[in-house]
Amino acid sequence: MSEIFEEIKEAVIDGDEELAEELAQRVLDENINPVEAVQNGFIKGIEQVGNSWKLGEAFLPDVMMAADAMKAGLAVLEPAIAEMGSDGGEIAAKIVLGTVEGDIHDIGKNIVGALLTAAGFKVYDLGIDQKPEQFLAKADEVGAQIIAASALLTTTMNAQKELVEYLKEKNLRDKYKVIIGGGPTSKAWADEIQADGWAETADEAVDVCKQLLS
Amino acid sequence: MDDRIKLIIACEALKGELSYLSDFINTEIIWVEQFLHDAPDQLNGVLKQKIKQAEGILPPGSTVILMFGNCGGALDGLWSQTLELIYPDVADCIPLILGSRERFNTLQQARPGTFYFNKNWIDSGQGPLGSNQKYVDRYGLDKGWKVSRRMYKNYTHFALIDNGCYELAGYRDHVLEACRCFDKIYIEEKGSLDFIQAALNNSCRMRKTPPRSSAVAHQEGE
Repeated sequence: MSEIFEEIKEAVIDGDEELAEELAQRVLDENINPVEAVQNGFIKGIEQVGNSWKLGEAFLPDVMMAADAMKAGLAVLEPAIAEMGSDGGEIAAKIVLGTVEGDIHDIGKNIVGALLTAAGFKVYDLGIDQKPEQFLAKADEVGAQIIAASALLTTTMNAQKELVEYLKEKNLRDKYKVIIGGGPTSKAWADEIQADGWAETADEAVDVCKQLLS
Repeated sequence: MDDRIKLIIACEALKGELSYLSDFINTEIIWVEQFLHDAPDQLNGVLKQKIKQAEGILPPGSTVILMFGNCGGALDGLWSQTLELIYPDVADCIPLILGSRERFNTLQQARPGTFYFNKNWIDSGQGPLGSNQKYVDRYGLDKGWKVSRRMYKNYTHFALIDNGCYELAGYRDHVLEACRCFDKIYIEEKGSLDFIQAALNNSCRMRKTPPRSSAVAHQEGE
């Protein structure tokens, strides 16, 4: 059984999305515990790539492809995990993640999602070009503690502010911690729009989420 | 062009446009490589060096225009000890190339997944086909293409900007080929040089940073 976990780990490291999906399907077909496949395969793979990136031994495309491969494999396993009544081990918290309205960039967001998953968070990734009401609807549906909004353009950063304002309008600002990130954003911007946290890098985003919940 | 401007420091992305306006421009241009668009911290550092260089050649109080979009906030916090720095208040160079902020904002709202090309964006190899070669060199043919397609996955349209300052024919072929390789929709957008000319005339919304020495002197005198 550990062989397939090793294969999954390698598929993630190689950023091979198709193989990751194929191996996840094999996990289901061979009645292997999908939670173990996540923890011992997918997460081990992304952890290794994340560490190499931090050390400067991997490039952005390596992490981007690894995050996509992990996401694709998890999508195959998630229905089975949900059916088992287990969310894949002890969950640190639920996080709704997305790129704000008008912005189609998702590489950094996906890396953040992958590292948060590896750190034990349950991540609900909405995708790109998401309105404030879509963030809130998902957070409400899944009972999230944190909403994480990414923006890569100076022209779309304002949508992060609109998200915070929208939560205030709905009298739900205190219900969720809001963190923001993305190339042009800064701690000063996060303070200005009254977000709860800001991170410059994906691994800092994990630390920020941990701190917000401690 | 505003006579008070004594030097232009410009991104090479605007080389086609500024070359076309050469009769209108009466100062030297110092060029900065456009690949720095992707590395705002590095761009900020290079601009500091160029400003230092300008301080060495221009009399105190001269005005220098930075012809850039504020990519990733790369222009934030720049100052000179002796020179006034001005630059168009715009987040990205595409509005400059298109002709106005309003036009860019309208197009972005209608089609947020548009990747824009102009002459130098193509000449410099910074577009999808150019960057693909970089990934093929690093990862080999199959994975290189996969990485490249992933990078541009969320774009729906590749748009060639026609602002009248270069012959479209060869560039159109390039963008059409990129559309074929990346499975995108080809469009052409009419642009104009109005925004660039207004910036050079110092007659549009500009960010202005006075020389630090005069700011300090002004504060001390208060």
